[in-house]
Amino acid sequence: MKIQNPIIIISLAIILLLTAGVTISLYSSITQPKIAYVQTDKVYNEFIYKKELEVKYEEVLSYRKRILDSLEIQINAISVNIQNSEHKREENIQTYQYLAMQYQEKKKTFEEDNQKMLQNYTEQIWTQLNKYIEEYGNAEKIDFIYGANGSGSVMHANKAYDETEKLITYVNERYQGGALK
Amino acid sequence: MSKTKYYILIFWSSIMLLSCAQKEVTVGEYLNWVKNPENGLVVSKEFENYKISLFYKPVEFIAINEQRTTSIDTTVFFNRLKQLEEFQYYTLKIESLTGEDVLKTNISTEQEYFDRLYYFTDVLEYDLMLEENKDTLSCQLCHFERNYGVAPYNNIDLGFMSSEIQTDKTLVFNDQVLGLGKIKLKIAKKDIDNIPKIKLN
Repeated sequence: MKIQNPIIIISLAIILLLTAGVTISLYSSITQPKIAYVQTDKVYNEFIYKKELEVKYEEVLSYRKRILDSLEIQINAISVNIQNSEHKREENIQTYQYLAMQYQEKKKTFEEDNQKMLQNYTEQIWTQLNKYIEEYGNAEKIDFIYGANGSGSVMHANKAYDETEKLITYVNERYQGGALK
Repeated sequence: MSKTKYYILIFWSSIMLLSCAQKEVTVGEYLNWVKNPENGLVVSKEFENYKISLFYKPVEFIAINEQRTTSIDTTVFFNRLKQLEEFQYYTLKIESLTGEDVLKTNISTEQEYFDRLYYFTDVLEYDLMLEENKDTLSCQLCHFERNYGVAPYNNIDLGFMSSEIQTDKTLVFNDQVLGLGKIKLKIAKKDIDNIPKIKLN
């Protein structure tokens, strides 16, 4: 068969190529998972609930420190009394021993409680944060959200895939009671 | 102004007026509307093993429900409204997503069960607050409905002092026993403003 008009054939070929290109890109956009990454430490630190609990934790810590400090002052004062004066020496030694014991007990209890409180707070923060991140992923139809935290899990990422700021806004809105999107 | 422009203006004004007007619905439709989460008076959050929901109950909803019929006695209805209007009412629902009794979900000792029971019956009201109009209201009425494990959820009926609705209402639940911490649930002002009027007999 003789080729009638080369222009028509070339045009058809171009159209075919374009169609194939569009189809391939559409197919890949449909089948390729949507990926994003967030700076985990930034999301964590900017989470309002984390900031609130941090303040609460510091308050408890400082209150407990004040209790221990005042006990320490009392112990030091009695200790000076015992060294410098014979007056009521036996009684002072007994008080000193009692206070020193109380100080040790309180210090140990506070240390254990502080540890437990920190652990509870961290768990509460992550329980809420994980849920909101999951919701965000579903709302934005993101298949994978990677956490870049400087530990090597993500060595390099294009900034175009960084969802940190949007995620921070979302988790804080949700924490404050904002509607599910 | 030409005649056409005049008609267009009338048309758009009517549309605007109609869209701003509060809908009027039957008693049955009203009950369904209020309970439908899509209308924003029921909001919830899910965390691991629990789903926490808040239901804002307009006083009209309570007054109708008390009559247990859709053919309501209007005299009784309006008298009841007067009695109820001093407070704003909510139901906080705590649901176990594992299907167990809420008090037994994710516990490791029997003591934890009793701790939770004590917490929900005697302490909870101090861990509930309502933020609205730049103010924080303490909980005035708090009743934990026990169901002895027959359902995987518990309802807690709440009442706060009533106030003019100027902003969104946020319930703050500072949980101490489920391991969830502070949970905030917001009822938007626009959703309260959208509550339809009831077509009375």
